[in-house]
Amino acid sequence: MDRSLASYALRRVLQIPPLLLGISLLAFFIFYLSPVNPTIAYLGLITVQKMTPEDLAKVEEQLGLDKPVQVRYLVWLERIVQGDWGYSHIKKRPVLDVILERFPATLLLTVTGYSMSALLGVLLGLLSAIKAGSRIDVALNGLNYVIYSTPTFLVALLAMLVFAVWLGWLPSSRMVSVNTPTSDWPLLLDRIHHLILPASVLAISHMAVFYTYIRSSLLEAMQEDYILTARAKGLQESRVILRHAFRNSLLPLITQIGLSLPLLIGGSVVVESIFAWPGIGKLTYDAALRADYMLLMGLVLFTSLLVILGNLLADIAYVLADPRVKYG
Amino acid sequence: MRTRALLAHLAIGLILLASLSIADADQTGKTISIAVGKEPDDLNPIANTGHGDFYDIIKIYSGLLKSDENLQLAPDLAESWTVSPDGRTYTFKLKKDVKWHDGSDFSAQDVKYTYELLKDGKWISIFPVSSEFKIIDDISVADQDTVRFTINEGPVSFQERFSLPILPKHILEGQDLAKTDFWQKPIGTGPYKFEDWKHGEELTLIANQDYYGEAPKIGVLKYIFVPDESARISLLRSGEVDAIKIDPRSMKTLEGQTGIKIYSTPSANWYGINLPGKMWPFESKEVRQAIARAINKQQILDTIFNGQGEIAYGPFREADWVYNPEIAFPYDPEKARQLLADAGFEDSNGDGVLEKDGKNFEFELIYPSSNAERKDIAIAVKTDLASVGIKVEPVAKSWDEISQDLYRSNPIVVAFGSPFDPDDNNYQLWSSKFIGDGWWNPASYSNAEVDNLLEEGRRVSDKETRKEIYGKLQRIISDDQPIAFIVFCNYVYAVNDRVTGIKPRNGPHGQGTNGGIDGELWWNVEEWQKE
Repeated sequence: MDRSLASYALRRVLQIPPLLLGISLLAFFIFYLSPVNPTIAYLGLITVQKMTPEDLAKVEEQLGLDKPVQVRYLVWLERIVQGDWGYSHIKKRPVLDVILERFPATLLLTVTGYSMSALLGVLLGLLSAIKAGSRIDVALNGLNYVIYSTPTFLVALLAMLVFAVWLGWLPSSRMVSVNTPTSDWPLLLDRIHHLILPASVLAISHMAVFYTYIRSSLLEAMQEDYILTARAKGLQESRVILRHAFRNSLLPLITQIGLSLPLLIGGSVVVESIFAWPGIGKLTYDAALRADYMLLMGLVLFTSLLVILGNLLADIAYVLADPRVKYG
Repeated sequence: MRTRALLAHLAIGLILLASLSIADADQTGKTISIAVGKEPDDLNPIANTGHGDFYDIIKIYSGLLKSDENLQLAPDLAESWTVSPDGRTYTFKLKKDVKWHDGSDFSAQDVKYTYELLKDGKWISIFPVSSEFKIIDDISVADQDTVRFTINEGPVSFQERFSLPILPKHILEGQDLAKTDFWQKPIGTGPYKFEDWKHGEELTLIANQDYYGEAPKIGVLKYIFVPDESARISLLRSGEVDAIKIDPRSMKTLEGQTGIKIYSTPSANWYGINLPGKMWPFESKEVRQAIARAINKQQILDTIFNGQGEIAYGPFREADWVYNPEIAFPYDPEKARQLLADAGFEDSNGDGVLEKDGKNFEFELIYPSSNAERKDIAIAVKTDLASVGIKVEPVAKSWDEISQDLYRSNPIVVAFGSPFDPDDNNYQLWSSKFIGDGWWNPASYSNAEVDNLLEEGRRVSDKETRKEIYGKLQRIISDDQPIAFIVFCNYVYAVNDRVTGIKPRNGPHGQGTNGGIDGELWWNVEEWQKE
């Protein structure tokens, strides 16, 4: 089995480069079709309005924006193959530096948010499934639909309004206080204090997926013969559910975690922008507004790579967790 | 296990919530923190707007001259300066013993280097205002402390360009200015030194103790980048930041709060409706006058700008030294109807819309979709003009869709205005020379007397004569209403009331790419104090 898993993993890894090529091609041309005028986005409208067409043409030339899109793509491709992520003309810094500097903040936020989301979703899903058909189940289900259909930005703004503006319990924005504590413990606490609100918003707006999955797969598992067997053995109902049904219903969750990675990165764009969280989500938003194509391409590549690797790991984990699944 | 640790952390965090906000208050000490909505792309002081008037340069740098609180030129790196009688030679005597932040001596060579960078035009993508410096013929260094500029020919307002921030030759010479990391951690001669920039979070500057002027009283200056307004307000309330800019409509939530003071400062930024003179029926002066009288400007000012600003009749605000008070006229829908009737319009079919020559008086009013206040103005104008029989359909378009051609051939909600020299951009907005030239003269306004006054105004240096010239200009433009002027807005700030030394002054149109770290109410932050 190990052998077949290894060759499966190898095949999947070999699929990554063509996949990335396809994504980058698509992304580049979608950006090209964007209505944002990169010269206006770079210089600002007021400056552009005061410049002569000749000067603007010169700026375009210096930024390399005057070349046809396919030429620009090939130049980008040639560089990226050599490991050069290019240069952000807006930030005047190497793209990879900009991304790597911002990534830890996103990692902290999404890992925390995601863990909270999974935990909350699984617990509530479990509760719902056990009490299937009860008032609690109906209420949780209803709540779940409401949250699932509320856009993340709305959840974020409401949470900020209630917990930061009205109650004043939590900071409204940023990763640390403006007057950052200098010693270790207060600094750690300060960071946690700032993390709670954005992470909870991320958690709540992504909880629905976990909740729905656990609830339905648990209900399904409860219909299986082995549950009947377990009950027939005279096991306590709680033991039947937790030991037998729940453990089996956790399997599809592994795939689900891999699949929702893109959602999470998308969600962090909104949450980071509202809470002034200095991660790559906010960076992506700014880069799109400012038509910073090199940076956008870098971000697309970077996040695609994360998602592809995440999915790969989830699939491998699935094989390891479920001895029935074989790849060959 | 991980979840348990996480929960424990969460619990500790929750317990400490209350204590943290109390602890913050006394740590502020000698730091001024300003929260701004946008982060600068880099710290290049010359990348900002085409104003040419670098009147609010990033505090790290300084120029030969600077603008004082009345926007008059004052010496900065220059000790004194003289202008030759023909206005073509400027001689600057530099201050002695000025040091760059890295300890090197500042000299006339740095001045020459900086101006030549721009005059040369090679780095236009880095210094987009380069072309404005083409009229410099020669820059000569007479000795280490004297620089002489000879300009080809130029308007009187060119002297405002001498507030251009000076860059260090010893660091930048020979570098690729498009890729240098100098713009990330610059060296200047200004009152504050660059300390740290946490991208996406904050920029920290520290007082330059070797500053040639009076060293700043506050030791640390922080710009905090927070895009969301309610988050900024919340930071101000918690005492974490000292100053923010707010939407005038947010004043209500902050007024009367202890510890917070509101500053409503004037700006030269006017809003109006461009009425292209080449388009039927705006070629008729009566029609334009009627529109200007049918718009309830006071109501727009009160509802859209929360009353913060003043009504506009021409391009200058009351506070401006050239303002002519005789140009005002009242909101008068009755007079507007009369003027429209004089122009030959009547509602013959009784549908509530005026006609002339069988054509309905109706038009699309374009507004840039990214500006909320311009949208509100467009809607208000629709209502106001409907009451005199003109049918207006507001249409949103993004700036990427608004081409130069569209801009100057459609009624559109425009904004402009400069608090600087009266020549500044009024020349390009109203002179017939600029019809069809890029974004300039969008109304295609052509008036020989105005053309002459504009030419005269930029040649004469005597202030009284200029005041007279621009006074006449305002009378004609206010009468002609090539653009129906509506209001000047104020810029509104909320500041920690322990901060003193604030000097509000007339602000410009728009915000540059620096997102406000180079100006606004905090233009003189080096003079601020905190009790």
